[in-house]
Amino acid sequence: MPSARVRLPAIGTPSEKLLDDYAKHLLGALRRANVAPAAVIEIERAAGALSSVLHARELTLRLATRAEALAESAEVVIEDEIRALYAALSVKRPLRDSVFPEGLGASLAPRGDAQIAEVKRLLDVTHRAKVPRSVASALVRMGAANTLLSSRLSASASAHEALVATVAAERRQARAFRQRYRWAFGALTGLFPSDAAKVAGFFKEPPRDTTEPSSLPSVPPPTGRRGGKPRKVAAKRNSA
Amino acid sequence: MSDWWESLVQIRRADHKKGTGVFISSTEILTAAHVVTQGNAALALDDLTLDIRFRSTLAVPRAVAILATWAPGATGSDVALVRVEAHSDLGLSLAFGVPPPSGSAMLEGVGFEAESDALRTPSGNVECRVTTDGERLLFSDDFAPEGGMSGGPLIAGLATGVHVAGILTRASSSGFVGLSVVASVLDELRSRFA
Repeated sequence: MPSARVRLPAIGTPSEKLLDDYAKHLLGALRRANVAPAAVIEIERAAGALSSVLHARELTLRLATRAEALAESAEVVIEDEIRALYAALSVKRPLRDSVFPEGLGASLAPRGDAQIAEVKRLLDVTHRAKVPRSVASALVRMGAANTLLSSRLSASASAHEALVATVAAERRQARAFRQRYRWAFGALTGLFPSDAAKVAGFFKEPPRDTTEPSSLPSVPPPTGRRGGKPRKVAAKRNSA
Repeated sequence: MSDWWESLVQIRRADHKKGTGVFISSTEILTAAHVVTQGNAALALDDLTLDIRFRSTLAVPRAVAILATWAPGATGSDVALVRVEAHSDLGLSLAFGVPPPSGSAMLEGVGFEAESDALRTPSGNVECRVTTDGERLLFSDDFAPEGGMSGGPLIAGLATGVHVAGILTRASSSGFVGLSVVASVLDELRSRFA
């Protein structure tokens, strides 16, 4: 009995390729041939679950990137405030040297939680020292910026945890999809034991080799028809 | 099998104002109350156009439910459900308690900006503050919804997929951006359809 030879998706095949190539091809072929409804349902279900978690992973990646950018911008704001404080204290060199014992560079170097600690140190030292009145507002700004950085670092850490969770979930669903795909191959071979070419035809390797990562599509224009009849286009646009 | 963004709806009113909504089941669109009301009352169904933009089709409204406590300018009750004819494969699932009370989470707001009809997806760290009435208000220093995005979802990415965690209602200088989805509020809205 001749056996069908098909290329099954390998471990590490991107989810986009599993969905856009493997799933689409198999489902299309099975529907056209109107065979194996159980296999269609199973592959649809596995593809749906994979698609759902793929979109979640894309979203968490966007959010983690955004959280990182927000945290970095808060760090830059603090750097500016430290520079401003250093400049303001330069009128009293002994005071400046007591607040910045290792120089400006040492206070600008820390990042993340270490930067928060350095700002707390600066606030503490300046609180105890007699600083010019002109410095007070800079210290208030620096304190507020430090609070913001603290919350953004926390958000960034949480966003990365969410990203790791969705990446792990995506891998689990990709594995489940590959298993369902192999199961469908077995099921179809059982349905058509003497027609290897027919079975192979369902699983024909899709022509595309690479798949662009999916992202939000461009927005289609507002629907211009209602009940099959053309609808008037709103002349004025306000927001609700 | 539909992609999550296919559940987004642009809501256009007869007075040319616009808002956004999202299918949370095959027959329910979640949005802000001020998008589908005039004063204290729901707009007539004929005054609403529910455009499922990514399907290039319209949903037919059957009923609008708002909370008894809703009044123009209210914050915590600015939520509504619109019942429509069934679109079997649409509907984003909900995530309750994201962010948790007094906690924060990175969320993405999604809505159609009124002027250009373009999809906007601002995102940032969103904090949940609970009022003495138990309302869960959402605040963010990182973004503010633009006109037309009212009623759009605030979405969260979880290991189970993309979920609606809240809705955008309005922007304010305090950083107020919207409301968390709360099961009891949805139950009350659903009971008002009956």
